[in-house]
Amino acid sequence: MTITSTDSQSSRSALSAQKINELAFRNDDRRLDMALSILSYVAGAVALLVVIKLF
Amino acid sequence: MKLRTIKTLKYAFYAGAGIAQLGTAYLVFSKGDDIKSGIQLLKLSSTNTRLAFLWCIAALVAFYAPVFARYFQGLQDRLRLNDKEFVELYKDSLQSAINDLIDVREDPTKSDRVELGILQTIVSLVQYYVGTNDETRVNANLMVPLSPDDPDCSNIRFLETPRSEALKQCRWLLKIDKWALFEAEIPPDFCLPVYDPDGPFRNRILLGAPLAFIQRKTVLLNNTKRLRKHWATGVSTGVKLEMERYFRNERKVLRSFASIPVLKDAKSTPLAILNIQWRRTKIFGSSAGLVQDLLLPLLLVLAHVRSVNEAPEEE
Repeated sequence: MTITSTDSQSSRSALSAQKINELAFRNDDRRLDMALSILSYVAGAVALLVVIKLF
Repeated sequence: MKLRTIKTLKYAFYAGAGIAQLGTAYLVFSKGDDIKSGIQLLKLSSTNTRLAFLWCIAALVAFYAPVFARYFQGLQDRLRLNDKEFVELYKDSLQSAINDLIDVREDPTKSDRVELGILQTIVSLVQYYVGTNDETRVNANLMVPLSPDDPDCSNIRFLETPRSEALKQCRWLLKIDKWALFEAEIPPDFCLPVYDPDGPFRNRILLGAPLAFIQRKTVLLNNTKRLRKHWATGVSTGVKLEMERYFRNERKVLRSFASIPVLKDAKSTPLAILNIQWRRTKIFGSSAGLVQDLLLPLLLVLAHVRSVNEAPEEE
């Protein structure tokens, strides 16, 4: 039988898991990093195009 | 270097890259001719030459700053596990797991609940490392070995043909016992064949959990769309196609996974296989060893919890 998460409310490990999870969500800055990374590529490409076109 | 310093440097380089890129473009746009003549003249006393140097520096920063930003990003990923708050929580989670094990030894009926709690801790640790959110959830399941004639295994998938012959060569069947998190999209229940490692089907052992079970080593599959290098030499085309179709159907929840044996000691048959899956590629990121080391103590506790109720099957 597949047991679901609702069965484990009282185990200490489950409570620890919850705390780590909260920290994971609080510290999550990957989306911003990815956006910045993409933005830097796009800005770089645009700058390069401008340079090529005007020089 | 502290995590906060690394983070500050990373964002400083991203900001520097943006400013330098825009600056380079602006200088070319507004003072293009001056820069050109400055380069041709090449005299430090000339304003145009200084402008050309400024443009060169801006261009270099524009080019290299994103490289440094990504370097610090990688460093931050590695040092994420050294964060003081995380280390405290990690210690707490190990303490909780050990206390839970003591509870199970006193009252074995608690083992299911404790196993589930440990599974959830493992998922949370991986989730913390890969930095996921609700949309990119990590999940894990525990597969247990059953005998090939176990009535619980009516649905056996990825079996070689003829099925009757393949079943004869099976030494174990692996069945999902529990999932860490209940999700509507979790893959359907089925059993996986594990062929006798000394029998004629030894070169047909399936990738993932069966291979981890036989080798007693972690099997990492970073991209379920690229299975070619993972197949054992004897796996038939039919099985390969069936598995590729399965991964294609489950791609929204399962793009990469790790199968880790749950061992009480290095030489015994695994008590179970822990599968951790993610809906993105590279479940353990670029430093797979780091995450595995982090999970080891929890896996050991899990093995001891499991062995309270279950006498391990000897080879």
